[in-house]
Amino acid sequence: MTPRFWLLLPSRALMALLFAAPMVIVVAYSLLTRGAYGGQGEPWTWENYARLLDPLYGEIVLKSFWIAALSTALCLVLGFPLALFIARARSRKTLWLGLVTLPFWTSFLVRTYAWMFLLRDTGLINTILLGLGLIAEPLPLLYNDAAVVLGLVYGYLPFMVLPIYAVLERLDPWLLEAAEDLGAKPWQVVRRVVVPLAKPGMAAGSVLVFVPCLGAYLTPDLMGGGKSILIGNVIQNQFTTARDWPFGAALSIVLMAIVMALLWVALRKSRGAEGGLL
Amino acid sequence: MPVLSVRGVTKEFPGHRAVDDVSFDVEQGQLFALLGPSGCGKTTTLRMIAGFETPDAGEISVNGAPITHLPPYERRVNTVFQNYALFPHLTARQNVEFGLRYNRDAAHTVDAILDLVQMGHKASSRPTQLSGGEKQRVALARSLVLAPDVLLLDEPLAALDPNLRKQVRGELKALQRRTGVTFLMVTHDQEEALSMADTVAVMNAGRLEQVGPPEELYVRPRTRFVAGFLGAVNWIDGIGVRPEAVRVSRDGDLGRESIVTAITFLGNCVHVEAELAVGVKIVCEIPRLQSDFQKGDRIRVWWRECDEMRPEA
Repeated sequence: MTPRFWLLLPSRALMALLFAAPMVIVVAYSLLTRGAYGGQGEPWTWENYARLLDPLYGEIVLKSFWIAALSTALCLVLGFPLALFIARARSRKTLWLGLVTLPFWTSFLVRTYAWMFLLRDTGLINTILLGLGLIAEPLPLLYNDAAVVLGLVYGYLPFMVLPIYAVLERLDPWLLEAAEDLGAKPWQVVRRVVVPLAKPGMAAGSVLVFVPCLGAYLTPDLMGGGKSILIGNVIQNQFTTARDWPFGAALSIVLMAIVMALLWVALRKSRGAEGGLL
Repeated sequence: MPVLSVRGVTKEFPGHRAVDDVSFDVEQGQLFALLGPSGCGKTTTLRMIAGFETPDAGEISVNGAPITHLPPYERRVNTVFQNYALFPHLTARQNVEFGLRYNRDAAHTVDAILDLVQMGHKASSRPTQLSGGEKQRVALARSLVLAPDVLLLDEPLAALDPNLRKQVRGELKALQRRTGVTFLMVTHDQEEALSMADTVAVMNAGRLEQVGPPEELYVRPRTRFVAGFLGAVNWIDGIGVRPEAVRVSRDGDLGRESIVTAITFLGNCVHVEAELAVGVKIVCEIPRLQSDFQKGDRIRVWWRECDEMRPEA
């Protein structure tokens, strides 16, 4: 046995034990029948997948895609200028990067509760607006789709900023000067040089934001107030209140298959262009 | 009227004055070289002409119109960057087309200019597929297609393979002559400046030391710095004599008597180092075939009065 084999053994064992084995279990569960008191048992069946044909789930999947796509787009619109600003900053780069990653120092749950404290009817924003007499009734800031998108954008923005920053940081500053030298105004430089060259970072950031947004259940649960049901919440419910593990497993597998198919298409498309996806 | 006029330009950076009251004119159709050691302010001067830095004092004008405070994209001046700065996501042809959409009347078609720099056959290559010399030619085409009033070249040969440099010197000069575009080139290599430029300006520590034709600078340097930067000098009693101007013989009564202290073989020539008096040494450069001197030989050295350099400072 070569040293290479032994050095790779721990990570291979870890992947097999903690990644491959659970995947096999989930696939197996998705093909079993729900037990009377939760759990699962025989007979083997396609029934769980057949249930997914119900238009209700199609709608939820579509809505989840819409919310995840919207959040990703907003992260892109907000994250690109921020990444560009940090990459081009002459000083205090570390400070700005530190501030971007600062939220990671506390738990996501605590930060979501903080947002709820800000947005709810008796929260900080409504209290101030009411106190100033600007509004008569509290604004419905929480428990709707907009609040979910806000929570997702807030939570995943750093995953968009950091990969774009990493690309822009390595961008040759002479390229920007060359573009200006050739007659491009600053915004034209951004459009014709910076954005095309930042594409690999934007693609990586979009994947890092889109995928977790699609499966998110904490933010829609807390900030959507149960009114905004997404696919993540449906899956979560099957494993908790509904006690239908086989159906939850089938949902997970289908969601994962869709994400992987999308990534595969995105990867193939970007292979054609310069650089590739990541 | 000069095509480019730099008047009293000064630029301070935190802690030092990079460019200090620099003035010079560049005439239409010239190849003008700004020569100096690294850190002398020549690149900063170039960047102020391009518009990437703003002078703290002084004025820069092109064809009589002041451009000191115009942004780079409003100047009819283009730059060939030291690393060529080709856009990696565009082909050679797309790089050349880049500036054409910004309201300037192009003097050449893209095809004509690509042919002029002999890159027509590689028009659809990406920069990563091009050699250093090819990248430089695309960068030249990208700027020349816009028919700039002045083309700025920042160390145009520095990124090239050393054995390619001499060949490219000639090509660059030929390109300048053929297009008639005024070239302002920054370099730290005195041989490059002397062999290519119509006019050379020597900078040192932020100041302009002397401006003139290459031969005048070499033969009549105004400062000791210029004399020393353009070539080797023997300083004897405050008078400078270049090694190749020193004549040597075994006998006769010309010049001064001295003793050979070292012989250095350099291939095409030999450096004979001799001691004129205690502590006064002189280097004489003589053709290899005329040298049969040995260490310890008594020789006589002399030079023509017209070869004496008497810098003011």
